[in-house]
Amino acid sequence: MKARTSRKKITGFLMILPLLIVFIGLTLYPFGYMIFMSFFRYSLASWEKPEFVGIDNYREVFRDRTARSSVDFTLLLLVTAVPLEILLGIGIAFLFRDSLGEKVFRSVLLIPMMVPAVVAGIAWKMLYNFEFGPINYFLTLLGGEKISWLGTQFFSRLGVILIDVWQWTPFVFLVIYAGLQSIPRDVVEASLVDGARGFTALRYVELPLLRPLIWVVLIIRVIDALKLFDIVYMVTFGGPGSATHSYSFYIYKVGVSFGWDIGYASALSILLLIAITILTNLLFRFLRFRETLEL
Amino acid sequence: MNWVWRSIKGILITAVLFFFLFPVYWLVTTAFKKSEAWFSWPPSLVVFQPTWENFLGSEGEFFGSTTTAIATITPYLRNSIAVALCVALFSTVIAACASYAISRFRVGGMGFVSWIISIRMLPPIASALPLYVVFSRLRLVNTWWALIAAHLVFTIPFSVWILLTFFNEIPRELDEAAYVDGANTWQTFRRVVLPLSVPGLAAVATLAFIQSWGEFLMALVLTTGKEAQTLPIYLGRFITGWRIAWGPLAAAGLVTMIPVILFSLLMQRYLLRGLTFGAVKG
Amino acid sequence: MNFFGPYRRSPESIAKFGEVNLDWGDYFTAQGKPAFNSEEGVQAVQDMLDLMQYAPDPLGSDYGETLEAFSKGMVAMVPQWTACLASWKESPQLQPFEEKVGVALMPGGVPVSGGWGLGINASSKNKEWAFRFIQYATSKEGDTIQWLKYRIGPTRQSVVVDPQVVTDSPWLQEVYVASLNGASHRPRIPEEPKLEDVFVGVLSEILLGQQPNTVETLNAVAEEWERALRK
Repeated sequence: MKARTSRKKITGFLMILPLLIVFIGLTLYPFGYMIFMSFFRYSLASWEKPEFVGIDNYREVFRDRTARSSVDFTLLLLVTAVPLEILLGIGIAFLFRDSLGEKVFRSVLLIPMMVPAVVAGIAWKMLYNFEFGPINYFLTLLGGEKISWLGTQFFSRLGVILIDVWQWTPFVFLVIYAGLQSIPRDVVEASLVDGARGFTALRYVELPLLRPLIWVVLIIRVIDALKLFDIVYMVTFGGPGSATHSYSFYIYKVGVSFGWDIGYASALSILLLIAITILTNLLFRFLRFRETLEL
Repeated sequence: MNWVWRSIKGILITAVLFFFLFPVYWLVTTAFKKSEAWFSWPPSLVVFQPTWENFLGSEGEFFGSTTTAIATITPYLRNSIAVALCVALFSTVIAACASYAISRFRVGGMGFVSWIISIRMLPPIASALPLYVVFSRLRLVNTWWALIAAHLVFTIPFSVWILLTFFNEIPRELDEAAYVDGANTWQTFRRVVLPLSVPGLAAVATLAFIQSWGEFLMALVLTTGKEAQTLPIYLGRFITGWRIAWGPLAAAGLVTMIPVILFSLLMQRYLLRGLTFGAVKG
Repeated sequence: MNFFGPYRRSPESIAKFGEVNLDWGDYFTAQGKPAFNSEEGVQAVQDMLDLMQYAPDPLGSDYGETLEAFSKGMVAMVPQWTACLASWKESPQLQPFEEKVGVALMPGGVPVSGGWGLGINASSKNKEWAFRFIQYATSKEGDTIQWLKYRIGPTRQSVVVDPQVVTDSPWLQEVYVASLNGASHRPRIPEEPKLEDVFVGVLSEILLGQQPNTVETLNAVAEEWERALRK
C-alpha cells in the first residue's frame, strides 16, 4: 500500500511537471530578471552595458510627472468604471431575470466581453469621431453640442471609462446572473411566505446570498482594470497629452517606445506587481477553494 | 401599475441592448460600406447598398491592394490560426495533466492552486518585456514559438480551473474500479477519466484558442513582421500615413471577431467557470 | 516645431542661442541646452493657442483624422507631409484636384524636416540584394518614381529639376526647395522619443488651459529634458 502511495506521488509530480516547466520558465525567470534589472540603468536601444544604479529607478517613479498622471488615471478607473460595472451588472441581472427571451439576451451580452479589445477599440474610435461620429450625431439630434470626445482631458477619460464599462459590465452581469440562478427557489419563496415583498426579498435574502460572488467579481475587475492596455492603445494612445495613460500603457511606452528602457520599465512593473499581489491575496479570502475543489 | 412597470422594464431592456450592441453593429455595417459612407454627415446608420469592396478590393485605384482590401490578410490569418491551435493543444494537454494530479493526488495543495491563480493575475505588460529580452537572446522574436509560449502563461491557469471542476465531478469510484482491474494511474487517466471529460477538454481548448486569437499586447511586443504577426496586429496596417482605411479596417476586425464570438457562444457555460476560478458553476 | 522654428531661426535668436546644431535640432541651443524655455517659446505656443479656434477638433484628432478632415473638404489648410497628396487625389470632395488643391511653403517658412532611412540588418540573409535595393530606391530613377506615383518627397536635386517632374508638378521646384532650405530639425538623439513625450504632455496641458503659457511652465519641461539627457 505504501509503495503505491509513493508511486502515485511520483506520477502526480510527473503530471504537473510540464506546467511547472512552463510557469517557471515563463514567469519566475522573467520576474527574477525584472527585479534584478530594476536596479540597473539598461536600455536595449543603446550599446552600453547595464549599469548598477541602486534604487534610482524607483526614486524616479515618484518624480516622474507622467507616471503620476498614469497612476491618477488608473485610480480613477478603479473608483469609477469598476463600481459602475458592478452596479450596472447587478441591475441588468435583476432586470433581465424572468423577462421574455432572457436566454437570448444573456448570449447577446456575451459579445462585448468577447470581442477582442483591439477590434472594439476600432469601433469606439469611429463612434467617438468629432465630425462624423454617430455619438455626436445622436447628441445633435437631441439638441446638444458636438463633444470633442478624444480632445479634452475630461471627455477622453470619460470615453475610456465608458468603453471599459461597455466591455466588462456583461462579465459582472453574467456572473451575478449565474449566481441568481443557483439560489434555490424555495429560499426566496420561503421569504415571500414570511411576508417579504419583492424588493425586500431582494435586499435581505438574495443580495446577501450573492455577496461572496460580488466580492470575487469586484476583485477580479479591480485587478484587470489595473492592466488596461489595448483600449487605450487603440482609441486614445494615451492622449490628449498624458490624460489617458493607463499604468500599463505607460510601462509599454517606457519599455518600448522610449527606446526599450528596460531598467525603468522593470521598476514600474515591479510596483504594479506588488499592488496586484496584494489584491490577489485578498481575492483568495473570498474564493472558497475548499468547497469548489473539494480539497 | 403592472403595465407601467412592464413598459419601464421594456424600455430599460431596449436601452441596455442598444448600448451594448450598437458598437458591434457599427463595426459590422462599416465593413460593408463604400468608402464615401465610412464617415459622412449624417452618419449612414443603415447600409442600403452593401459592398464586398472592403474585403475583395476595388479595381484599378491608386492604392492597389495595400490598404483597400483585406486581400493581404492571408499570412496573418495563417499565423493566427497556427498560434491559436498550438496554444489550444498545448494548454489543454498541460492543464489536463496538472488538473488531474491536483484533483486526485492533491499535489501541492492549496498553495499550488493559489500560485496558479496568481499567474492568471499577472499583468501581461510586466512579463512582455523580460520575455522579449529572453526571446531575442534565443533568436525567437518574431516566431510562432515565442507567441505560443507567451500565450500559454495565461491560458493554462484558466484551463486548469475549468478542468479541476470537471474532474471533481467525475466520481472517484471509477478510478478505484480501474485500479482494482490492475490499471496504473496513467492508464486510468487516459482510458477512464479523459473520455468522460471530453466536453470539458473541448471547452478548454476552444477557450484557449479564443484567448490566444484576440491577444494583442504580447503579439505587439514579440512579433515584428508578417512571419509571425497575428490578426490583431494586422489591423494596424490600415492606419497609415496616407489615410485611415476604415472600411477594410472594419472588415479585418470582423474577420478577427467572428470565430471568437461563435466559439464563445458555444462555450459560454464553461467560460464563466474559468474566468471566476470556479466561483460560478455556470 | 513649425511654430518655434521661425523664432529660433530669426537673427536675434541666432545671436541669443547660437546656430542650430543639426544633431540637437531647433529646440536646443548651439551648446545643447534647451532653447524653448524662453520668451520665444512662449510666443510659439501662443501662436498655436491662437490658431486652435480654427481647427475642428484640435486636440482630439490623431494624425489620420487630420488627413481625413482635409480630404473631406472640411478644412482649408493642413500642414502635412507630401505623401497624402497621392491619396487626396482620389478624394471625390477635392475634384477637380488641380484646381482645388495647392501646395505652399509653411507660414513662417520653417517647416519640420522628416525623412526615412534605409538600412541593412546585420543578421540579414540577403545583404547583397538589400544593398542593391537601397541603391535602386535612392537612385534618380527610384526617386522619380516615388515622387510621381506615391508623392514621396524627392531626396535628389536632380529629380526636382527633371523635366518630367516639372511638367507633373510645376510648384515643386519653388516650394519644395524653399521648404528644405528652411527646414527645422527634430533632435537626432536616442532620447528623442522620451523628450517628445514629456513635451507633448505639458504642451497639451497648456493647450487645454490646465497650465499657464509662461516661461516657468516651459522651464519645468526643460528641467525634465535635462534630467532625461543626463541619465
